Amino acid sequence: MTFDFVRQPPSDQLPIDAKPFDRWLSTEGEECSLFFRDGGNFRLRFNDLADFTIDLGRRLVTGTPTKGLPEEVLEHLYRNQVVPLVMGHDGELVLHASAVGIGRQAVAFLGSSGRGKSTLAASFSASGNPFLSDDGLILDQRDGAYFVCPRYPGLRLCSDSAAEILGAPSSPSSLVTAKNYIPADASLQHSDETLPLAAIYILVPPQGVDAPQIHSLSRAAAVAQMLQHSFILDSEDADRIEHLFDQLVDLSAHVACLSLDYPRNFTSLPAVLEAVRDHLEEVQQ
Amino acid sequence: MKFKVSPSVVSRQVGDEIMLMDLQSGTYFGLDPMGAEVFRAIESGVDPESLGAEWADKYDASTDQIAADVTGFVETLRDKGLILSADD
Repeated sequence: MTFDFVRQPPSDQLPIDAKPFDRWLSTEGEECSLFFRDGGNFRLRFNDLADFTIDLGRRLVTGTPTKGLPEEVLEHLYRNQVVPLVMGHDGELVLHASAVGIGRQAVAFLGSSGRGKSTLAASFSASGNPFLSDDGLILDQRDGAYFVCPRYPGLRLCSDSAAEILGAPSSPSSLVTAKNYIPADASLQHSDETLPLAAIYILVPPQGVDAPQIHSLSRAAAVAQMLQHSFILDSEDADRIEHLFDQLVDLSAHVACLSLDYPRNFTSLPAVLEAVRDHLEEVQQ
Repeated sequence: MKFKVSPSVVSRQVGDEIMLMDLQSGTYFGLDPMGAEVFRAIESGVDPESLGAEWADKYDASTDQIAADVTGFVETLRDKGLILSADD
């Protein structure tokens, strides 16, 4: 699948004279993205950030940033939001998750924005387990096994996470987003090796635990969570939704799915890494 | 009374449970083993009201209790639009 990406000059986001058929909400319940139909194509609005038009026939994505939006933010939206949506529409299995390599296997962290996916990926990477992808996790299924397809060598981190984990200078990258784009380097290792996926850890809403908690999930509960964290461009396309449902049911049969909760502070991260590594050894036995 | 599964609903066996997805609304539900049996009965055209006597021994409960549980479950499925009257 290849798409061409064309950047338009910055522009104000004028009202769209159409009703969105879908919308994404933040964890606080605020509307952050809107989906519109545009003939046989799609138009996505990331509020206060950028508009994208997706021309499926011409395989062309056009991105129009708002005035003052840093180029890296537009690039991130395209790579980690629009591309996964298009790939999902094409039938690929794409989850809202980060992934890291531990030994010869990969593990994924799935969850809503702000739950800690990128922070965990950065923490693992800084301690010797390279990250494979951030935000849009693309899975390739072969002979009953699932493989993580590595993606762009960079993470988006809140400035406090970047400072704490990587020692990066604490400086805001944008007035409209609270995250920095951190490219991979010696202290933030990325791997472009395709690795088999051994486990998916689903980041649950913090329950106030005082130590990392990893619990098995029923396959049905795991499928329900993965449905919530899949990239779906057309939520009204019944055939595609059914296909995704089947993909996730199969994934749940072949990859261990667990819930993960941990104290949401930086001092607990080493214990989380250890818990995941130990748990992965049990999964492999 | 007999029922049928709504045309927009698909079901899949997922481990020990059955998951239902309403492709029209995008909502999904998980059924426990007993709920799964009731659903399979409905899919097969069996009147769920007939299950009470059949299941009393199986689940070590009175026929009335089974009937009440099944009726409540069927009403839930119907309220959520997952099943329709067979005459609809």
